Amino acid sequence: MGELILGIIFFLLSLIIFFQAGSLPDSSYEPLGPAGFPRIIVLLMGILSFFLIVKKIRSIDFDKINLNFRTIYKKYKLIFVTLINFLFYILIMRFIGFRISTFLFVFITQLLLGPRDKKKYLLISIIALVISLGSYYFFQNYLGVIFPTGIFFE
Amino acid sequence: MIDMLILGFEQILNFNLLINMFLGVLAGIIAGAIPGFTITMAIILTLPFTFAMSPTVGIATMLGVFVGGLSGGLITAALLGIPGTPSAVATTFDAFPMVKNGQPGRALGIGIWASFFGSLLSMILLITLAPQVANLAMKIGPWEYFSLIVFALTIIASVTGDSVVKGLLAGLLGLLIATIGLDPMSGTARFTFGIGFLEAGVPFLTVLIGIFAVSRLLTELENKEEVKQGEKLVTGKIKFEIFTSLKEVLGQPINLIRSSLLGALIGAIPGAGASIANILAYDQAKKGSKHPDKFGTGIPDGIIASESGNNSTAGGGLIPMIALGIPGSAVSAVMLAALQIHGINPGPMLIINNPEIVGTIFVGFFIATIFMLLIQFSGARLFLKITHIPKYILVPTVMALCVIGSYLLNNRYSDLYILFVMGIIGYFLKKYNFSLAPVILGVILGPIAETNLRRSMMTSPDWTLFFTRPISLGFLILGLLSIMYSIWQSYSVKKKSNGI
Repeated sequence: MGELILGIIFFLLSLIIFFQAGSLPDSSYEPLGPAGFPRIIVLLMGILSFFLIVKKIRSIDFDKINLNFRTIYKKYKLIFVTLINFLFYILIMRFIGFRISTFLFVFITQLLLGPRDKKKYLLISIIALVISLGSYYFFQNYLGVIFPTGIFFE
Repeated sequence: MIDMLILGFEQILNFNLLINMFLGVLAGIIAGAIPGFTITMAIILTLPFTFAMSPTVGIATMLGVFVGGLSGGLITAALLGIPGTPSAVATTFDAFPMVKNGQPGRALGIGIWASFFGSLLSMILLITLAPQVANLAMKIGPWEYFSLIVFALTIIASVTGDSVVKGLLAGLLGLLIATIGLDPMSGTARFTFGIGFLEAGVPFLTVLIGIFAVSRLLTELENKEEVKQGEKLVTGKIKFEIFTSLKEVLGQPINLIRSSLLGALIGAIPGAGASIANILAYDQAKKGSKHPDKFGTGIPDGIIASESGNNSTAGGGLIPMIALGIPGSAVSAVMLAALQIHGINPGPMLIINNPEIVGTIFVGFFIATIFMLLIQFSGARLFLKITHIPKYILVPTVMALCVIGSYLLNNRYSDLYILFVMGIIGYFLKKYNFSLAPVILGVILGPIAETNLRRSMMTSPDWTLFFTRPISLGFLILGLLSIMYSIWQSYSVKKKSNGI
């Protein structure tokens, strides 16, 4: 089922890109132009994904498909949790800075993924602290990388 | 030649130089092991330190970083399945399954020895073949380049995993990702869909980190109960036997020599390099193998091919630099810059005017390789402990490192969004058995292929030139043979397994 969906996505993608490429300007001194190469790619992609779709539709058993979001969520709970944390981490870094957001991400994600064991909290917080502060000062001092500092330190 | 080597030894046997070189190798290994931190970046960071050194010390230190970096990618590639540098992508194919089978010590040991011999063989090639290979590399124009890339792209057909169609789709996706951003020839923005930061393009290292690292980490979380109980990558005692791995590596001389030759040749072609060589060597090892169906399940053959293939590009990359004074890779370009800062003019006259520099490079390369072996083996027991860290600690920590790695590539905040999206794409592709290596191949090779195709069409609209220029035709024939061979091989494997 997943392969079928991916096949359809690939097919739609090739259609979109093919028509998008039409709006790119032609070049007078160059025969291929900016649209040529991408069009070759999506042409092949369209044909191959069509193959994949046809092949999967034939072999799929539509009665067995279960699209209950709750069961999917339960099965992949940790992945959802991690991804959501990860997205928040990236989004809030700009506002609260690299150090705090990294600490929060590493700490909270370890907490949510790991066993409920109070003895581990100390270890988890030390790791989060080392990763966030250690990398910040190392890269800032030795490599001159400027991480977002955040509103609290401005 | 002998004089030059003696001269090189005289230069190298200097305490200050050896210390600097040792530190260089160590720094290279660490940099190579961190995803997102490339060897080129490590070399560029070393450059300012070399200003204060004499030219021979400076060049020896940089060689150390180079050789160390190429073998450092092995550590994370084998133990976590995350290539630390693009040159270790193919190492993950067999080394990580071997780790999962409970043999992390074996995987690391084989990888280290293969790196060592690859490096050594390429040094021998460097000394003996430098002028000849350099001449061949100079004949490469846009036609040959395009045909070489077409050949390299045909490798996709053999790393496709269970379905050729899915593998090709993954490769095309990679090619398409690489077209996002400003068109390399005309500067028109392509496929940015109005998102401003996409105009800068999608950096291929961000794709690598997202597709390989983030997706791999997410996959590790699929078994909810075990992660909750503190599951580790490897349970049980880790065995690490240096000499058993040495025997295993030396037991495959053909694989070792073929991969090193390929690596050195690819390294000598300007613009190509270790990121292509490791996959090409893996592919050829699979094609030449009696049991190609076992590749990808955790056999030594795959690790040997990839690691000797990528390490031998170091020697190959230095060939055009010494013989012609042109850089074979970004790394040797920085080394050339370091020489120029010291007032030494690289070029065909380098061997005559500054034999001590060339001698230092030859001998220094050898010493760096020995240092690499020493550091890797003494650190191995420490590295192996990574596999005993519970996943609930490992996953968030490495993810944060991925974010740091992607950010410091360009100091660009928007790259993190790309990382997130690539991680999700990678996870879904992996989940439904699309192989991931073609995506990376596509992203690396796409821009080179497009630029050279269009450049050659601009030079002359006559497309028959691709077939009439001998080297170009040779690469195209190789590409055709490579596709035909992989189809034949997968067919005969299927037939064999049906027969049982």
